[in-house]
Amino acid sequence: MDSGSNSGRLNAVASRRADGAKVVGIDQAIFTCIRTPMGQGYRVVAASRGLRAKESSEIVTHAPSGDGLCDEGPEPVGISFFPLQSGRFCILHSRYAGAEPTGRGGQRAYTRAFVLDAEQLARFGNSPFQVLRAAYAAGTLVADLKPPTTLPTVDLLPQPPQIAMRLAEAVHEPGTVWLCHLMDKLLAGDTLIVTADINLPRLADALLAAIPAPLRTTISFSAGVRFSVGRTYRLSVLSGSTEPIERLLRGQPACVLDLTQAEPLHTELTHAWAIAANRLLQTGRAVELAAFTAHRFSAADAHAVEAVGRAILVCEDARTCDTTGLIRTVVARLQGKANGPLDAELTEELVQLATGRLTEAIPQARRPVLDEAWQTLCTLRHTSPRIERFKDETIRSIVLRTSEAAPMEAIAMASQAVRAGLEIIRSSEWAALEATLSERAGKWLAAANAETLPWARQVLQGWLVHAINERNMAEILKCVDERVEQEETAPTPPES
Amino acid sequence: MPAPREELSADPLTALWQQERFNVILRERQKYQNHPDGHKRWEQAAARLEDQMALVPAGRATFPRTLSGAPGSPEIDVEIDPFLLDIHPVTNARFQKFVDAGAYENLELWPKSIWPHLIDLRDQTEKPGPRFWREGRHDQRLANHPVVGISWYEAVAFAKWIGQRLPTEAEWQMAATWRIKSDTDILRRFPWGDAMNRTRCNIWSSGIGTTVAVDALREGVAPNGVLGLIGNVWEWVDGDFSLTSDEGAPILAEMELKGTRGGAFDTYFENQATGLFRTGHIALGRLHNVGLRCAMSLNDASWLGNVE
Amino acid sequence: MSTLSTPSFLASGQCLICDRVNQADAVVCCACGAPMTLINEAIEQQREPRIITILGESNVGKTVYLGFLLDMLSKRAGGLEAIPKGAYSVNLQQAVIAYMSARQFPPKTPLEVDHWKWAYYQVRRQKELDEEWFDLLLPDMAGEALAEEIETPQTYRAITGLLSKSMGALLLIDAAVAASGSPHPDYFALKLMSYVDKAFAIGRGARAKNPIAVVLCKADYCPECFDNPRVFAQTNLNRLWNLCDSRFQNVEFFAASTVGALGFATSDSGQVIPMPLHAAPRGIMEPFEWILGRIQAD
Repeated sequence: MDSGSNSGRLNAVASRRADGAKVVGIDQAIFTCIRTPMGQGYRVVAASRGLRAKESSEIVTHAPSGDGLCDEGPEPVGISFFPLQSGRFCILHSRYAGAEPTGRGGQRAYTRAFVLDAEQLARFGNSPFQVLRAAYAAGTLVADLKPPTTLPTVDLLPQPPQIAMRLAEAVHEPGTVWLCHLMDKLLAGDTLIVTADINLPRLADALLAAIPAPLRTTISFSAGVRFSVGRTYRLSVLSGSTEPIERLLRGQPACVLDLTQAEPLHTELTHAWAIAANRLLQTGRAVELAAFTAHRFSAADAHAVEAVGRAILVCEDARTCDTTGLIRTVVARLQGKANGPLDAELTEELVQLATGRLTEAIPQARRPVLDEAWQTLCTLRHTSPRIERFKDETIRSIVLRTSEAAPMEAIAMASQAVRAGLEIIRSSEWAALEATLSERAGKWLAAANAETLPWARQVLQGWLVHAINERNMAEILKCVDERVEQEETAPTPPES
Repeated sequence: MPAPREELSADPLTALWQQERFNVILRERQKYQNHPDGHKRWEQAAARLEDQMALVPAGRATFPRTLSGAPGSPEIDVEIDPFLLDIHPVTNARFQKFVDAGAYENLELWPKSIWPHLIDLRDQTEKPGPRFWREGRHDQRLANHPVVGISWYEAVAFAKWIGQRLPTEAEWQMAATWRIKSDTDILRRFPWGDAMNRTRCNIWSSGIGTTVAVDALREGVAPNGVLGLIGNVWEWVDGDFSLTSDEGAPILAEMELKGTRGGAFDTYFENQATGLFRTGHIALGRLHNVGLRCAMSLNDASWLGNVE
Repeated sequence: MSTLSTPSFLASGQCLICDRVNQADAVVCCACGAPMTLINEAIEQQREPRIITILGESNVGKTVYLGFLLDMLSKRAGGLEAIPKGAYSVNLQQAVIAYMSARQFPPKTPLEVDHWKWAYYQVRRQKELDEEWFDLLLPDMAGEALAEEIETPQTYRAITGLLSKSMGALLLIDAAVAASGSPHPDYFALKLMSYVDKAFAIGRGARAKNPIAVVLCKADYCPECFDNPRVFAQTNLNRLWNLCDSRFQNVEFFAASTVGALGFATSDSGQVIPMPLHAAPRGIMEPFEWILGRIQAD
């Protein structure tokens, strides 16, 4: 019997759940203080075969030893996350497991380490906390004080992180302002040390949740683990006073913040993503922010995220700005180069928003606004169907609105637009527009005089070149010509 | 420099006298009443005991039950009848007589439970005797130093051999703190008063670093003339070590613990060399800093009134 | 603020242990975690301290040994007197003495270098006709950190730096465990001494000269250690004995203990807690005095 292959098949089956979701096999290790034939004291007492010696050594320098957790709650937990020199990532989950076995006072720290590569981490939304949730669900976070020396890899079922829920919690604690302020510092590249009197891992979880997924792996952190200068993280979340930390860090670049102090002003935010997140969370749109964090970015760096943040802000601003401003914003974005799929998507959204807004706004707009909007639109080059569509629809609105009072000017505008984009003029909307313009031009003609008629003829002739329904305009033009002729033949009134 | 061996008289009473087993002489008075030197030896033995021992009046001792002895932790109060206590700890010279008498082979002196271990009670040369002796002899230069390197069982056997016993822990504490029965119920932390004085005793901070002769530090005397209760060597007392942790869990060791009191020449902390400090050592341990001092109940000292 | 210039052995802000140059106002070295106060002390003294490292496995008794040693030195034991350089130096001895006098063992030394206690003392040694003053640096390392550094060198730069600058070392071994027949102390000491051999190496094939005092700790459990530590080591730590014989010129064996009697209590959670019933330090000064003597002789 080929038990090996059978077992392989069974494993393959076991690694897939009934609903088809595939589990991820992750290397693990246990770092704690137990006496074994190989010695005593804190060390890696058990590990899976895939863990390399150097990785094990790095775990030793990062994992807390006795009394090494700084949260003083009934069941304190410390979480750390950092890249290993091997290129993999390490997540440490530390807790206490009874008193120090040496009897020398204090609590025994027990740390379970999970080591996984970028691809594996990505399946958990790049969230170390999501890995730990899966580990918790698998029962692997329970302290085992008599582990075998060799552990199996731990099979975890990836689930997408519930970012919106994390963010909603964060709005409650530590609050939107602090959350965004901390995020701002992190995105600015600061080494951030935060002290707080709230659930420390949860704070780190919220912060990470608010950061776009691709960037999460670049934020090494520890939460609830005693501070040590030797362990350098982008983010350290601690309890207690900042004073000893500031003293230890003197001469080293780090930003130390105490969350028990008064909230900073939101105007202090500098990174566009943080500003955007602040705006979304302040307006109760955690779900939207969560959706943004999950997008693909052009690059996993703060610059790409900043660009997206700016885009979000633009979209946000566009919701409240006036018609001209909105058109200007859209034009500016449409003329710029999209910074990744999310940026392009945001532009799309902006265009959609603007189109809707303009459809409502332009029919009520006054002439100077329409003129300015018109001028702005004229600078917009056709580089994509999206731009063309926007331009088409907006121009149509402007032309229509203008035509109410000044149909000939509207026709002039339409001609200009058509010269810029011949293809669009063929659309059915333009045909309808043309009909409206013809009708209004006809009425206008009735009130025209000798001074305006030559100009009207010029406009109509220009239009005829591009018109879809030449007949309408041709008839109007004919009328104009007749009127001009009438004006020319009419007797000149005697001079007074 | 090994101590010379003393030839014992063939006459049993004289031998008892040579061995300084004075209370045995007094106890076995009937046995030697027809001996020509019987009366003389009896009077001499009573006089020697009078010199060797001091009366400790009735009093009280209060022990903490817990190791930390933190304020408010439970205590035990013990009433103590008057008793006699050796003025000095037992010296090497005195213990030599016990060894020379073949006491290690005399099973009557040892509880049955310890018989299998008697073979381990050897000196540096595998001869019966205290751990640091050689060839069954003490170093003559240390004749007047307290004997060390003896287990609790050897201490008990010695006391039994001379017709005495070890003081109880309460007796020892009463003697050291001089908490005699009185209206004021005052106790002192040290035999000489309430403040540590490292010139009155031999502890680590005295800077001596080893044992001194039992009569060397006369300023450390208790009101009744007892010397060396604090420092020099820990003294075995009769009783189990019975402290608990603050949570009430008994404090045990890998082997049976017996109480020791007083501190030794290497006691580092001055708060551990007081009349009140309770500790213990492994009963079978034969350490360089643990000796003994003997005691006697007044019931056993019928001679006392006669001498007076 | 000190106006003294930096002594020649240190560049400005240079770590005494790992040589990394730090910002002038740094409190701990950004590379190895050593307290930069040491540098300031050294600058004030204008002389390089003698570093003596205390090595040994976790729970062997390094902290207690060092605490007693420093306390004894402050009490002018063995013709030596130590004056702490700054309050932070007193912390170690104070902690050990406070715990031990309250019949508890001090807490375990954390693995993080910046949480170690470092003792910097000015030592006066009385000689026949005059006296000698020198600075002494004694860090209290975590045994686990040392074990990790042995397995994966350069993990703890503080240890690498300390050993490379150490003038001598005390290697503490649990004599009670060794006497029980466990090969573990011997193997650990073997690994450790192989590591020390490299740190103290003076040339290919040459035997290291830095004095190493092998201290058989907890010797109260096996009194024969005190009788003849060399014989005990030869018998119970034979691999170490052979390595020392082959690779080190200056090795001596000592026995030491700090606890007079040890009791155990079981906590409510079932944990066995050792309790020092009383302190009786023995053999603490001798290895240290020997090392100082050897350093002087060399």
